[in-house]
Amino acid sequence: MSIATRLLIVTTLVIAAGLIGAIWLILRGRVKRKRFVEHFDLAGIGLGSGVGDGSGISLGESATLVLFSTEFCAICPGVERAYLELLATRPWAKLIKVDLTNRNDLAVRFHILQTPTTFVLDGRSAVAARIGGAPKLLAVETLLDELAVGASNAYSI
Amino acid sequence: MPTTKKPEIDPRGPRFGATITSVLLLIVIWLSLDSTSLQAALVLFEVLAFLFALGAILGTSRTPYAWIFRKVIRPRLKPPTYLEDSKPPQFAQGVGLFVTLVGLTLYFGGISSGILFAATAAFIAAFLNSAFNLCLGCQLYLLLKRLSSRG
Repeated sequence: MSIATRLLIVTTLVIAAGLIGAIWLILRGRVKRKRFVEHFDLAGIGLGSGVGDGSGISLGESATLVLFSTEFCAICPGVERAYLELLATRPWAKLIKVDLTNRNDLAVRFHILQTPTTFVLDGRSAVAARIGGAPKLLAVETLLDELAVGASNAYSI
Repeated sequence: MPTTKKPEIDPRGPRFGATITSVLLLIVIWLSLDSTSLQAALVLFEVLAFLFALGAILGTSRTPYAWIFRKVIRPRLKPPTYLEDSKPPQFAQGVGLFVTLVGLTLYFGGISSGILFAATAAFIAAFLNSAFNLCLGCQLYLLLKRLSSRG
């Protein structure tokens, strides 16, 4: 195979890989609003840790972020830090972390394929949105503030 | 149940390793596209398989990339703002090892283009990690667990 052809192939490969990465960056972390009421049963899974709340599992008054992670997720600690920053000024919202490393049953039950995956719950423990991958924080903030005033349009048609 | 992991390594180390790996894999691809350099591609590919094995079994800190990073790169950088757990990069090395072993198996099984395909797959993963910080463990771990639990 000539050098020119090989150069073309390799260049195309690098460009294609770059495109894949760019598309992935655009798509990941979108806040996907749920259209149907879906409750998140905390007691049912019996697992979780309320961060910054010594009493263990507790839901936020108006909103809760449930962060699913595993020990093999490099970016999960950073996402957790980012969420804690968001919540620092929002005392009516809390963060719950669920480690799925040894809980494949939960991953299957909640259809979780990647980490981090975030569920955003409203004040009644209904799932308002799902986020796959590192979140688009601005969209998360918007949703949180909507939930604070109970104005989430998660149930609109 | 809180998980107690001690963050251990400078996260820029594995990304440096991924960058070097990407370049080496690109060279493998280049060499494997022409039959006269296929042997050279094989040798380099085997070296990469060995490096993946080192990282997967001993941890990423014990690879030549990590050594170069510590001795040459990191002294020129500001200290890391945070440390990361060593498990996710180690998982990624394991995936790399698996892919390269598949390529070598295909090659020695008579399918000489096995190296080209495996190197392409590995290149895409390494490149996405190096350029876009894509975390393989994030995307693959749960899927693998699901597959293995059904088997």
